[in-house]
Amino acid sequence: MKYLQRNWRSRLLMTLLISSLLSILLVALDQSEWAAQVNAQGMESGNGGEHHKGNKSAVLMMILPILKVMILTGVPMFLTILLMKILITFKRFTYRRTQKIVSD
Amino acid sequence: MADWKQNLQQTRYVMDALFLLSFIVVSAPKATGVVLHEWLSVLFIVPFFIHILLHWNWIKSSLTRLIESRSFKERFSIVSCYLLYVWMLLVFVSGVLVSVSLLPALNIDLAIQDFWLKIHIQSGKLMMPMIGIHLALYWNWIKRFSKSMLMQGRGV
Repeated sequence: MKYLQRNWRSRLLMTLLISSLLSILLVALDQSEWAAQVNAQGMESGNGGEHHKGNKSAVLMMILPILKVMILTGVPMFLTILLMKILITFKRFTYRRTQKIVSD
Repeated sequence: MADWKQNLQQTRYVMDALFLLSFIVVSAPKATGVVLHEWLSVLFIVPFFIHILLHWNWIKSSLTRLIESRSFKERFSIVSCYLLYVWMLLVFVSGVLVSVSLLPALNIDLAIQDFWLKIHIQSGKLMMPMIGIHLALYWNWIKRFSKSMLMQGRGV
């Protein structure tokens, strides 16, 4: 792992330092009015799905949440790839059209 | 396949694949159970920091490129990486603050606030599409290295 070991101490220290500072700032969120409001309201619909596992087999209970993560990650990924391809095609099309108009 | 450690891009590819795999596992607490989810999340910090260390030069130059680049895709990608980093920290921090096994194991008694529970659940859910978009932005790189690693594995 020679690439990981290059200046790893200083790099890791800096990463830890920045991460710790940001984490402290994030922890301070619970002093906000928003946090007080959420705490006062309580969790309304927090873990609603937890109670419906009764009939599922153990294997399904293992696989389904992992499948859910893969779908929730994969679908936005493919949609973004599709959007990027459409944008690139559109850009090429408008570029060619402009070139044609200029040459005409 | 064995000499992937000698090549930076291949090292990144292998480590990022492990990072993604561990992300999928820690993002499914219903599959692992909450206790295992918490301890695996602590281990998840390792691939997270490895990811940062292996992309150190990219991170170092990112701010300059964010200012100078004319490419919308590059600027969007840099901003999304920054956002993803802060978001990941938010999921970590809120996760620690609502832990039922981790903090008690360290003899830290902390009352769980509904605010942090809500933040942890919602930010964790939003993390998945964010990772999806992040993967999409580097799709060409992923495709290229998947092919090259596969060919190398077959000895072509």
